[in-house]
Amino acid sequence: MTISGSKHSQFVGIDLDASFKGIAGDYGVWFNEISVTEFVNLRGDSTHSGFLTGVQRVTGVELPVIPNTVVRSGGLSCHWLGPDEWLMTVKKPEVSIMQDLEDSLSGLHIAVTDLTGGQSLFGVGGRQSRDVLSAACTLDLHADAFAQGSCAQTILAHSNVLITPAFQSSGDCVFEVLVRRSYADHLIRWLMDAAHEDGFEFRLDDNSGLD
Amino acid sequence: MLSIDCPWCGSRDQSEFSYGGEAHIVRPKEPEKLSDEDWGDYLFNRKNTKGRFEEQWCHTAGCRRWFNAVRDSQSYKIEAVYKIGEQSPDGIPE
Repeated sequence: MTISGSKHSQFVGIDLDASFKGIAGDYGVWFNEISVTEFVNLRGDSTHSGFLTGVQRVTGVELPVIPNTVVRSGGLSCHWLGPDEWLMTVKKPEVSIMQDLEDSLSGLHIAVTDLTGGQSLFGVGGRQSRDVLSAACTLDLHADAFAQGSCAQTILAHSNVLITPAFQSSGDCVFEVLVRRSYADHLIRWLMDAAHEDGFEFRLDDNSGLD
Repeated sequence: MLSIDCPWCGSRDQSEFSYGGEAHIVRPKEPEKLSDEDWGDYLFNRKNTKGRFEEQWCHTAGCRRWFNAVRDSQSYKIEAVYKIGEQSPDGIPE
C-alpha cells in the first residue's frame, strides 16, 4: 500500500519528480515511503516471564532482549529500544495489536502506548545509500558492524532516528529510517541534498523493506 | 569528540549523550532535619575533581538510559562505565 499523495504522507510538499542523476550518470540512491498501520511503544519488565509470554501470545514473536536488535515476522517488527522498552510496527492494515497487548498483559506493570500518528518510516536504498546516510550519522553502517537483525537509535542530520537495515535476497541493503513525522520533511530534504553527488530518485510504488 | 561506551548500546559518539554531573550523590533520608548549610551542600556543592571522577551520563539519542562513568577530568579518558545500581570500580556503593 502506498500512501504518497495523501495528506498524511511524509513526502507532502516534496517534489517527487525531482530525481537527479549523479556523477556516474544514474541514480545511486532511492527513497521510498514505507506504509505502517500501527506503531506501538511497549514498556515492561523483560525478566518477568508472564510479560514475555503475554507479548508472544499476541505477536507470535519473542521480544528481543539483546540491545539494538529487531525481530520480524509476517509484517510485524519488534525493535529493542531499551532494557524495558520496545517499539512494535505493524504493516498489515487488517491487524491491530494495541488492544490485544493491553488485554494479554492486564494486571502486569506495563505501558502500551499508541504512537501511530507521530512517526513516519521511509526507506533509503541503492548502491550509495550507505555513503549518503554516513554523511549525516556517526554510526558505523557497514554490513559487518550493522548486520541483518540489528537496529540502532542514533542521530541522523540532527534528528533522532531509529535505523534498521533490511537486507534483500540480492544482498542489497535498504535502510529503514524511522523518524518523528515533524522531522521527516527536514530529513528527506537533507538526504536529497546529500545525495546530489550520487543521484537519487523516489520509488513510490516500491515497498522494498517490507517484510 | 569522545567515543563513549554505553553499557547497553556499546561505543557511540559523544553527540548522542548528555552529561549529568557527579554520580553517587545520595539524597538525605530526612531532609527536613538538615541545617540550611547541609541542604545547600547536598543541592549545590560538587567535588570538581581533577583526575578520576565518577559521573553520570545519559544516552539521550540512543536507549535513553542513565549510567555512570569513571572519567579522568584531565585526560578525558573514560576508564569504566557501569549501570545505575552497580558498584563503581572504586568500590563506591550504588
